[in-house]
Amino acid sequence: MKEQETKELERFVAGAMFKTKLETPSPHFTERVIKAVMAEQQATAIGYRPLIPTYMWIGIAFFIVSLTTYLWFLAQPAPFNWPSLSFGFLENNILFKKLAAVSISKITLYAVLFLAVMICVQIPVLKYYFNRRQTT
Amino acid sequence: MQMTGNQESTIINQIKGGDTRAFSVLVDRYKDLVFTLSLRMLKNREEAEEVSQDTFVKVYKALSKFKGDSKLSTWVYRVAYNSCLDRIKKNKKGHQEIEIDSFSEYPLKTLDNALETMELEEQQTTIRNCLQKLAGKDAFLLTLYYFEELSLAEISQVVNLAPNTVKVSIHRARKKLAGILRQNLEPETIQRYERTRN
Repeated sequence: MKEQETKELERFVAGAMFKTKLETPSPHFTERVIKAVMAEQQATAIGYRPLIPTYMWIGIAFFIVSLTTYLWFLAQPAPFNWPSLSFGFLENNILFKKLAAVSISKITLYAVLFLAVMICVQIPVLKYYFNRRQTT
Repeated sequence: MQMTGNQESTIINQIKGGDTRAFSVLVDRYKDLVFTLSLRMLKNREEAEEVSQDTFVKVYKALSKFKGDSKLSTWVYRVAYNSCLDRIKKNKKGHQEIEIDSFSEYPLKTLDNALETMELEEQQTTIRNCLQKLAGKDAFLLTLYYFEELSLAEISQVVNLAPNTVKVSIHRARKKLAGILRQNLEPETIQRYERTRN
């Protein structure tokens, strides 16, 4: 009896479902999908790529660590003797003497300092601006 | 028009080779069913169209990872199903499921015959309205089962459920749809049918 009811239900619902038709999206659906796909492709093509790739950073870090290790532990018994390092030779240098004799007015000094500060501010601002322009 | 496995793999290879236009053949093949499934799940044409478009973009992006373990159609419907679930979750508004009184005074046979007395267009509108009232997942399962004639195993891949669970869910969905049809058929239609029978 129950089996009969189930069969009757199956037949009824199948009949009802087959009477309906598949719905269709708006006329330019395919074109819009292709456009979206192409936009997606283009976005991947101009995606952000760092100037120095990760493997280069790893290489640089490895080089510095290995050089330090070599100098510190392996190049014994003559490691750097920091206290004996002297910069006295600079005092005898003509260029150094001339540079030391140059006197700069306070205004120039502040102007140069201000310029340096402004450049330091502009770099992150410009970086942010170009990043935004690239992503939008 | 049904696409054979060979045709499908040729198109997939063309798309993988960078031929974006070949993708439009694939979209044309599946767009109606993907849109119908999305509409039955989401109950809103604009949202269904957005989700269908999103589905095809996802399919395109992930096509390089498609190994061909399952049928392409099954895979496309799975992407559509998951996209719909994501949208429902985002909307945070579940479809209000209505209580169905399965103990109707009219037997199924009467209901079926009464439906037959209606004009075809009227029948289609009534059934479509009833599907709109059916819970999204139930309407999705029935559409997939009857329109694409997928096996229970294939449907279970689409909705990520065991085949037996799918079987039970489809049976329940059938009962619910019959219940909604009972509630929605005008009593006059049934009475008219009963009069003509006597």
